[in-house]
Amino acid sequence: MTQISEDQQDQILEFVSEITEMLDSVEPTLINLGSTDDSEEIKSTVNDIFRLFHSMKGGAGFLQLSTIEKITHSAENLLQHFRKDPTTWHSDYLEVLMNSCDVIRQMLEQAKEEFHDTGFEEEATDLIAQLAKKLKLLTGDSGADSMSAAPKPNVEPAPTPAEVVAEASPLFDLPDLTAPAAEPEKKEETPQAPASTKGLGSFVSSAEELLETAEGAILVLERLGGEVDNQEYLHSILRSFHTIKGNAGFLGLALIERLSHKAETVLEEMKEGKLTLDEQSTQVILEVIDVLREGTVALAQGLQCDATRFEETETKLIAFSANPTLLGNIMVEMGTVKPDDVEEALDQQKSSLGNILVKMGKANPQDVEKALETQNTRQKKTPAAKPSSIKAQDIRVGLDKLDKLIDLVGELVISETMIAHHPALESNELEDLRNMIRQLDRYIRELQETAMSMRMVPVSSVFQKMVRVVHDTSKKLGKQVDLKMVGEKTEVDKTLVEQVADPLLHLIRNAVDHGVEMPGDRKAAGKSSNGTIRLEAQHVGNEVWIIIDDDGKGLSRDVILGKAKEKGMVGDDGESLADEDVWKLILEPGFSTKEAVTDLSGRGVGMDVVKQNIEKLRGSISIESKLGSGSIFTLKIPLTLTIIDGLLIRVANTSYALPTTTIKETLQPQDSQVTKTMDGTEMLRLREKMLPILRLHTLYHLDTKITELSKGMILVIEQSDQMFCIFVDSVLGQQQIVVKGLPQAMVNVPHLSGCTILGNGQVGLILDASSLSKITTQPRARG
Amino acid sequence: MKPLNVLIMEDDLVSIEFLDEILSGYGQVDIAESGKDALHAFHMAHARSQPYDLITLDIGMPDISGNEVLDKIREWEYTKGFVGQEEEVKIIMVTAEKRMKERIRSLRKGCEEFISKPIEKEKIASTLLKLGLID
Repeated sequence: MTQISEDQQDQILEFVSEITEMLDSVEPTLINLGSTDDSEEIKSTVNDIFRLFHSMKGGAGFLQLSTIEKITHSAENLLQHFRKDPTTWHSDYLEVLMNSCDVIRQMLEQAKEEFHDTGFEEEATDLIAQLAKKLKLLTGDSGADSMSAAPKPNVEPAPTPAEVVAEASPLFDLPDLTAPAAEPEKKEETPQAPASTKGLGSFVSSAEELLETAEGAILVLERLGGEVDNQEYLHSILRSFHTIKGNAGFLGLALIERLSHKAETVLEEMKEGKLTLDEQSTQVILEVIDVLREGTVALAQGLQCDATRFEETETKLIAFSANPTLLGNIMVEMGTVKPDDVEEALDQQKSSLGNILVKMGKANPQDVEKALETQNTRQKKTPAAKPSSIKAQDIRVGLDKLDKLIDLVGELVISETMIAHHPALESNELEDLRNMIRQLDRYIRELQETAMSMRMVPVSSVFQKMVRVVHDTSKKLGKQVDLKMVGEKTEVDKTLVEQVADPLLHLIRNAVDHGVEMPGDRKAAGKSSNGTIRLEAQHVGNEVWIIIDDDGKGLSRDVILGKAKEKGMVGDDGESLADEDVWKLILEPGFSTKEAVTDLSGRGVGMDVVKQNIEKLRGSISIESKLGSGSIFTLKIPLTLTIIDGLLIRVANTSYALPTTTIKETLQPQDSQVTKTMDGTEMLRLREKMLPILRLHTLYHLDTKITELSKGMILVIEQSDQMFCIFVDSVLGQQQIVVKGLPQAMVNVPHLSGCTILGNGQVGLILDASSLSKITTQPRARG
Repeated sequence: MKPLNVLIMEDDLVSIEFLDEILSGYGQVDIAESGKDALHAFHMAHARSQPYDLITLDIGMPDISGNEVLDKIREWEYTKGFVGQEEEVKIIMVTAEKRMKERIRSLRKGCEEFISKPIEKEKIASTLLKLGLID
């Protein structure tokens, strides 16, 4: 049996459990249908049952459980008829539907253990024939119904099951519930031609998808051969060819069937390690993909496949996979020799090598005998050893349960902090208790880390998608771009992976389109003609950084400034802006990159949307660029969205918290360090830098005794490469805080990102550093 | 083929732009940025006798989830007697969710197909083809 990835196994298990549950709830209503004549009940139950089969078909199709797919497809067709016209329902139809459910249950049982649904072909064929027959009864002999598994017109007696299957259930005839009747007259065509144009259309589109998958996998192997699980990718290519072969055979497309079969064989040999995937073989397989694609495209246009092209490619495939065993196989295929002859010849070949060695005096006969024995046992062992590697030590848990656990751990952390900071513990006699609490604290932290890690998944799933994006975009633009991926195994929160996919896609497209130059321009600039984009993920403190680094032409200060001026985003003083501030302009709304640098082949989404999406995750984007040598975009996103390291501060009677990652330093300022600008803004001079000071008590109109800067504390904040100061009464300390949403009454309070429960049970407000940074950069009117 | 009437329900701006650009090639596109707006648009379209041929639903919405919208649409169609008739709108779920469980749930509620995020143009075209909306 071919190997199935763990992920696929999980999917199948989920499928089985969902469908079993559904069958359990729907089957009883099906039985009731036998004894009711309430039209409303029939209508609603038929609809439910239709949905059941529709869901089974959709899921099975996705998981390539083709026997289930075929049965459910036929059942769906029959049910669609009752759905359209519930009055046609009769309890005579009950039995075949019940039988279908039974057989499907058996297949589900098997799929749960073995992850496939093969071995039920006989039952399936029988059921499909029955379903088709019932449908025929309903629709009459005309065969005009589109979904009908219409048997050949004018053939009165029930067709043999095999015939019905062939016509009734084209594998790829996807749900097309309202389509008008297919042309029955087409059924008369020769077996070489597909049974219906509809089946062919579906074949073409599915083949295109499969070829794309195969091509993607080949590209991954080509670039990252050493770094990924080759077996898995080889398997996915093999599977694509296998499916195409099966369906082409089904539709009688001999050329496509043969070529994909040959390709499948070669892939199998690669999986077994008999052949290696080198540059040459990659090329041949890509050629196979191209030829198959051309073939399907031709079919879609109603043309013939180019037979010579197919044969040429086939020869190449055979030529390059030709080793002695294969030569034998080929000759057997050609009918020149019998399989036994080949075995014998091979035996002789082996012993003759032994004989030669003996004759040369390099070995004695006993050794050769022994070596041959070992060779035989080794060959037998290898395949048997494989399946054991599939078993993994894990257990599937619902995401809701996991979230509940993390929530509870969060509460536990809060309670523990409350106990540890309880004033009663200050007394000296409780030294022992304090020690125990410290130990408890350690365990709870560990528990927390473990709980958080359960939601973590590697970023590789998103990164892998970018391979194809780079390949496609660069091909479209005629550029040569290599994608280097670093730190794919970096783990981040599951929700974060999903939310970062779209912005990343956009940045990567931009890097190919705007960043990397055409090969000619690169050469002229003294660079290699291949551009390189480095996609890297790494953990930095409490954040994950995703870096997109290209060695292209870099951002042009003049072009960006020109555009910004034109749009009125900067005044004439734009020239004095620092480079970093110029780069940030491209992230502003209204600055469309589309017109700014080139005609973007992409989708015309502004970078401001990317920025918004990242800020939603409480992250930031920083840009570095050097004209002529490339740009680096760094996405900095907090690793977990629920627990952060925070610095607690106090102003008047209120406690606030800030993520420690944003705080550069805390200090008690001296009067000599403070100056006032013309508009009244207070500035702190800190090592050659002038930083604006934001008084928290003025911002929130709090009545505090501490208004002199030298009596309180200053926090130096760095957010999105901007530095500024916050003035507070005092700093309470650092601790892990659990971020909670703001209560409804406080949603409109500005510059807050959430709240937390502190050790003493009070509520602490979490300040949003990025929103605060905006106050300091915008010119303010002062009263 | 006649131009399609399409409704996109999506709250992510990037996805909206992608879907809008691609689907505009096939006909008239309306956009709803919340579940509430989507249901409103759906009913309005029927009121104007220009019902949608295709609706794409993002599963994760801030107000009413895609699955709930799907449920409401199918329920309404059921009461109107559109079940199994031509009036039944084709619904595609747009999702970053790959789990089978979620897919089965949406299928059961009556969606036709899935499109995964990040959205790919080719995938949309092949899905429309499968659904018989284009040829």
